[in-house]
Amino acid sequence: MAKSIDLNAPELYLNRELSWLEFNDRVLREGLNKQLPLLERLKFLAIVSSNLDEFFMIRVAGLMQQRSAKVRKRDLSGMTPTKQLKAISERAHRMVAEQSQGIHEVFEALTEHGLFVHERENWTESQREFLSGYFSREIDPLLTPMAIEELSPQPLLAGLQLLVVLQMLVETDEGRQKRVAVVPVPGNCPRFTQVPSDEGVHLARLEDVIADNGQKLFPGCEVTAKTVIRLTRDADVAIEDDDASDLLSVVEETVIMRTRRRVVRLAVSSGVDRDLLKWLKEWLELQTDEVYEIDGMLDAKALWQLVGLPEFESLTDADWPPQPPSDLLGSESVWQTVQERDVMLFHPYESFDPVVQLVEEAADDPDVLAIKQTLYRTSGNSPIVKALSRASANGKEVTALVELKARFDEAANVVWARQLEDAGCHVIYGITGLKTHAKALLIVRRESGRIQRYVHLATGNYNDSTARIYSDVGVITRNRELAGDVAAFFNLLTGYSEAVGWSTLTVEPRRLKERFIELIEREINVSTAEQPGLIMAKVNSLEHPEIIRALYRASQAGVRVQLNVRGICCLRPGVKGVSENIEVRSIVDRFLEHARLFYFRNGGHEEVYLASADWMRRNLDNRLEIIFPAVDPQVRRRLVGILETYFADNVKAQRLLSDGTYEPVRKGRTAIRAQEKFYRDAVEAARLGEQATARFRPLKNPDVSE
Amino acid sequence: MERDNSIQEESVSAKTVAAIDIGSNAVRMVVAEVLSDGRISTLERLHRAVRLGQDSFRRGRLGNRSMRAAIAVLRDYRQVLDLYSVEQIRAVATSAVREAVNCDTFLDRIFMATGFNVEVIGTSEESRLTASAVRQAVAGVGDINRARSLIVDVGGGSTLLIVMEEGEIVSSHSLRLGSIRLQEMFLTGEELSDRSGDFLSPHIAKVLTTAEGSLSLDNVRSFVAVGGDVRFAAQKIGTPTESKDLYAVEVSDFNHLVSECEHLSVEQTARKHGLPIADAETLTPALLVYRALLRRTKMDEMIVSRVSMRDGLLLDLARNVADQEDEEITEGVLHSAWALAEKYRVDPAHARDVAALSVRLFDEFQADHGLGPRERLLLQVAAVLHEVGGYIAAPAHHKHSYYLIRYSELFGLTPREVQLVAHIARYHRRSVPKPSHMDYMSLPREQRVVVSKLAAILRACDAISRGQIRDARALRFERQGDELIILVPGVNNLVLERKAIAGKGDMFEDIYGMRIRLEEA
Repeated sequence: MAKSIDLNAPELYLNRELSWLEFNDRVLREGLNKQLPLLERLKFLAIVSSNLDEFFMIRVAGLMQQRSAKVRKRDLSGMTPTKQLKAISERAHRMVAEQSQGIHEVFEALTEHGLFVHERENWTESQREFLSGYFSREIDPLLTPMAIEELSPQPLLAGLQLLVVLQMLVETDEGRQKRVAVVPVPGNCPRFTQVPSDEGVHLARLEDVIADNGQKLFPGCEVTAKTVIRLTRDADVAIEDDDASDLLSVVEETVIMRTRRRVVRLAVSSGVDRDLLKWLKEWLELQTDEVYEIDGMLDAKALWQLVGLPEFESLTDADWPPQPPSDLLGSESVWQTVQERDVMLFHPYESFDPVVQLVEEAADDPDVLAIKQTLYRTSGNSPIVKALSRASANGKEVTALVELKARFDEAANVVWARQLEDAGCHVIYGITGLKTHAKALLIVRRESGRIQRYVHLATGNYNDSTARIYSDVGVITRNRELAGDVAAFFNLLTGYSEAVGWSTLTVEPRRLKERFIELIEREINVSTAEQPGLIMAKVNSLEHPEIIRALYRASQAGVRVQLNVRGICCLRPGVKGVSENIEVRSIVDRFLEHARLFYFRNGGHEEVYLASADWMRRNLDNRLEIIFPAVDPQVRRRLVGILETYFADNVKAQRLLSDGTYEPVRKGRTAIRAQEKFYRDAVEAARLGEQATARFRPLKNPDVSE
Repeated sequence: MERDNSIQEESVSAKTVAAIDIGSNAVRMVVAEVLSDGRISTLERLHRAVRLGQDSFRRGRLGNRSMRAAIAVLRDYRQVLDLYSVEQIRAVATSAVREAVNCDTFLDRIFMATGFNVEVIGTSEESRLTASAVRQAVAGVGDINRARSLIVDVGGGSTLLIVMEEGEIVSSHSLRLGSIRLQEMFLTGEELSDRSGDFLSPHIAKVLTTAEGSLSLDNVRSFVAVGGDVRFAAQKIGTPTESKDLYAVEVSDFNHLVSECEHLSVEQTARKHGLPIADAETLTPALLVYRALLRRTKMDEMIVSRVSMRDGLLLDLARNVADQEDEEITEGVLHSAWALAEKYRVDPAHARDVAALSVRLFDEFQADHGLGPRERLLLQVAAVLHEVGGYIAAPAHHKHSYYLIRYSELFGLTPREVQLVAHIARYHRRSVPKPSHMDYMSLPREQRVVVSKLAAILRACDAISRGQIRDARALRFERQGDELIILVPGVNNLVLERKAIAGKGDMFEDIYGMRIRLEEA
């Protein structure tokens, strides 16, 4: 065993940003996957864009701030900010080119099904004429063109908005002069306009309509060049945001002030006039590698609008509706079932409704004394929020933790948080300096003279709409130890108490990391040549250096480590003497993999843990998260089965190679697609359950069935 | 605690109780259910740092700011209790409040703001509560139960040392060595905090040496540590045992940890261990006290128990609910009473006879006095100790008994109970209680009644204990009109006894309305 190897050596780590780009590339692979229905491919192609937007706004912006501050701090993999930016640009350029190619391909294929998305240069005369009329009637009144050179200071062009740029010759006192004008494309109009046709659906894009008619906006001027651009800016919220905190902690505040809102990326239609492009680059102070010339459509997020077209439903996947949870089949009430055993819910294969139902019933149940809940990224009109208000009106003690730091939805959260407060709920807006990412629900109920506490702990948020897209696991239990810990967790949040000794949960920052490392170390200690240890873990990201080192030590000690990491993975597998016992796989499929599950063989006394936390510094060092054990043996067995299925996937799974790239897992004799298997299993269980008894009725709520 | 969700538990009804502990560095609360079979199931444990000790040990009084902070915490706790509609609450305060000159003001403010009736308890009651909790925790661990063991609890204000043998309390001591107290005495200058060992260890050693005069640490076979700071250390370096509430800690590991800590400043300690500053401050001083005691006992392993005095409070509450007195604690109390009697050269035969007779009579008149097991115990203790005053001088020895008892520490009794015992003993002869007796009159009315009822029994039994009536169980009682006839078997001449009861039966007759007549059976 090569114990002398320095486990801190940079070559043992993959760069976080490049690993993230590889993840986005796997999303792109789905967009390019010819096996998929065409409109499903568009979804993935759209996601590639929205992912990249966020990545540039937060991560790239952070690195650029470091570069401006002349920070030379190297990352885990030994790269300076400058070097990272260079590599990111190279990889992202390649990705965007493939994405555009993919969009063209899908558009081409869609024509066979009667859906035509036309590029401006291919418009027919009659189409052009129609669109000109449409422009004058409906679009022109909404536009605010700006002649940018005349304005001082420079107008702040909004990030993430499409801008039509016109270069023209203008008559002035000094003769004809070149001028540049910008026309922001209104964000509240449909991106695609249908052009009348006898056959099929023919669409033109809004930015093309504006560009084509731009001349009309500037009578008397001669438009000499036109193009469409889109800027991505530093996301301003960055300093608050712990997604970038690792980058920004080393940057001085003044630099942040100076560089805030700066443009970090310019996307421009390919074929743009070279002079105009040069001018734009200078005007926006951009380097060449920050410019992305795109052949085709900018801002592919709008592809979602095509996915929803009713005429082409056949080009999407069949719906996989959530099934009644197998643990509740034949159950009269969740309360009663939980009295007998823990209930596990596997979303979105199984419905989230029982959780909503639990809160709703609790709100009206005279025996319920209190409801306490964390709400993170919850929608305001969610039935849970309504139920909590009602519970408070019914005289129950209601405590809600509303985490306002959940990025990009602060404003929306404040509104309904106020509503809860008005209803008499005790609303807490998180703990200073500590983001609360844990998801927990506690219901205190008096049952025949005794206090019973029902707890729901989960890997996902209390958000009934994402519960249909995110794959998460939740457990409802009234295990007294867990319940006591969850009560203590809420006392911590409300400030009623400081942290007390936890018996089953791990909650506090620092301890979270320590706990995982303890579990890994224990596995190392019990591992023998006869019975080697086994760790299976499924997380969204693996970036925490101390966890990675612990896993390396495990591999060196002969422990088999199977990791299912959907996104970022800084661990380099398959390095001789370091990580040859570690295998990393990733699954990108129709549902977003989101559950965090951890299995330790523990010399035969198997343990399974669930968590709200990823193996990232931001989760384990700066947040309140929850790691909780699967106590009920049935739940534990089921989770082991789920983990094994993920590792058996040979359709959607990709394997991480030592060089940081991924390759598809080779198919076995039978194709296994984990998500499909989970869905089929859920359907089958529900069918069998229905045959046995048909007593469980899923909640039909108008707010959910949207 | 228990993890069962079993069906049988459904049928068990429960009462919700709460124990609140206002200590020198925190205000803590445990809420629990007491099942009808006496089992305790904890619902919530709460803890908030309030540094009452800092005020109290430095300036001798509680500052307004910390009083307000403590009251705010108690208000929050009241909310939690309201949620569970808690039926029984016991709130106690220890050294920080006990030693503050404005203690009463503080207690009154608490009562006005929260309705909590906080009881200030003495170190002997603290010891009793802690011992009772530890005994419960180590119930399954044979070694600790059999061998002579030392329980050590380093709190903010004081250190409790309890010696147990065969599971029984042999003696208990309280030293003025608390983590906050040490902090306040020696380490108020921040620059010193990374040399805490140098400053504190000599003082700790001095206090221990003085204490060793009355406390023998030589034959201790097991060392049980309780307290928040040592619990933290045990989580770091201990090994869990089969009992969830106990850790085993190697003393070498522990010493290593302590020497690491004593060279860190409070901030460094906080950062290194991820502790709040408040906890980091007490950690090193407390660990130094444990280390000093471990050295003196020459142990190489210690057991760290997660229980605390609050668990003792819960056991009390549970006992009230289940209405069962802890026999072992009774034993402990009597043990310490006998030790005191021995110290003051009391004639053990007489004391034993009087105690046995008193209990017999107490039980016989149960329906008449309506007192409970706790009062029975007080009577027993008073009977054992009624003659300690003779050590000073025979004349007026009842008065000497009064103050000797009053200023003694009796394990397991509250200061108020010790006071009652002193009064009961005082009235075993001569004057009956009178309005001119200031000490007696300063007792609340209901306690005066208790004293009178018990003193009357003690007085009568002392009178008839002339060496002939040895077997209290063999006595028979007959009530005839206003006469209580006590039939004494196996004697032929009760002249002396009759004479004595004629002179000292007055009080009994007053209280119980019966004259005692002795007859040979």
